[in-house]
Amino acid sequence: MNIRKYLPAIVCGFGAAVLATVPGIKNFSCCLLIPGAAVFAIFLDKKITHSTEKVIISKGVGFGFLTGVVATIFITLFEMLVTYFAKTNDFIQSLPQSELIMRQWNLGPLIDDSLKLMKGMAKQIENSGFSVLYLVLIFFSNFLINSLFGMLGGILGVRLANRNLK
Amino acid sequence: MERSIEHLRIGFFIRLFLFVVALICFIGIISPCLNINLLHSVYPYLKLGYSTVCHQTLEKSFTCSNTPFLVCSRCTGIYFSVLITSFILLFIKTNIQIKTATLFFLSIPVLTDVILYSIGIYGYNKIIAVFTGILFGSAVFLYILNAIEISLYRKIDFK
Repeated sequence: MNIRKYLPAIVCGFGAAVLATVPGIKNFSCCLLIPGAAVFAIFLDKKITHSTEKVIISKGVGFGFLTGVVATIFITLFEMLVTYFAKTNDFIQSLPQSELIMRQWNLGPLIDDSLKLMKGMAKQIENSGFSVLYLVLIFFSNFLINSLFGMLGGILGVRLANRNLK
Repeated sequence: MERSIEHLRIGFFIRLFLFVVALICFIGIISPCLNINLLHSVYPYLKLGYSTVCHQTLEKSFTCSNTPFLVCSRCTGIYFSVLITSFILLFIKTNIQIKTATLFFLSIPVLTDVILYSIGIYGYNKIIAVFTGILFGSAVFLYILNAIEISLYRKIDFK
């Protein structure tokens, strides 16, 4: 496998992950970081290869997916590191509020099981700074959403890159 | 581009698929409003999932019986416009083309609103946010859909 071929996607995915960790930027850019990184990866690849040909959509989707996957790995890594040292995170901080909201729905035993699981996870993080369940949860939610948004960004990048080509 | 029966068939399935995805995403967003126990019991996990795409600031989110939506008003506008656009497109057979300039033009209101309230010209307004989100979401959706459809039609014609 020629890793240099995928370097733009890897670099942009890492860049997006770094930016996603900065609270101010994260709030400002919302869901635009990963698609933006995928678009940037397509343009970077065009610059590196000095290509004047049309970028095909499958390449854009692939680049976007890879950008999303790389971003997922690093976002999860950074999140776990911050959680390990801080022994808290947004999820734990919003847990009491989530519990209040869930209690008002009167779900009965269904809510108890769900809350038991979450509180166990929160306790583990507060004690040791790490929870396997939390790692799995954030990895899969990041993977699902970042890869999807990455692919959309890739398609967007292809159209933008091809806009002046006949 | 001339559209054959094959084009129409493939186009319809793409649009249907995107509509279903948009519907699932939107149901997740408004899940606090829906009386579905299963969705309520996984509320914190859904919240965690949507936190990847939105800052979820309470003051910037619509609420339903004192429970905030899972994304902010602007993101609600984006997802809502994608849902509505994909639904309308199920009944339209023509290929709707949107130029890059139009995409940029429809992105200007979002950018302007973000800049203006960030520098304090006016406070955050949910109605403005949702409206700018609707404009941006529908433009991006049509732009991306067009790229997918053109690419697939070319593949069909090549075969």
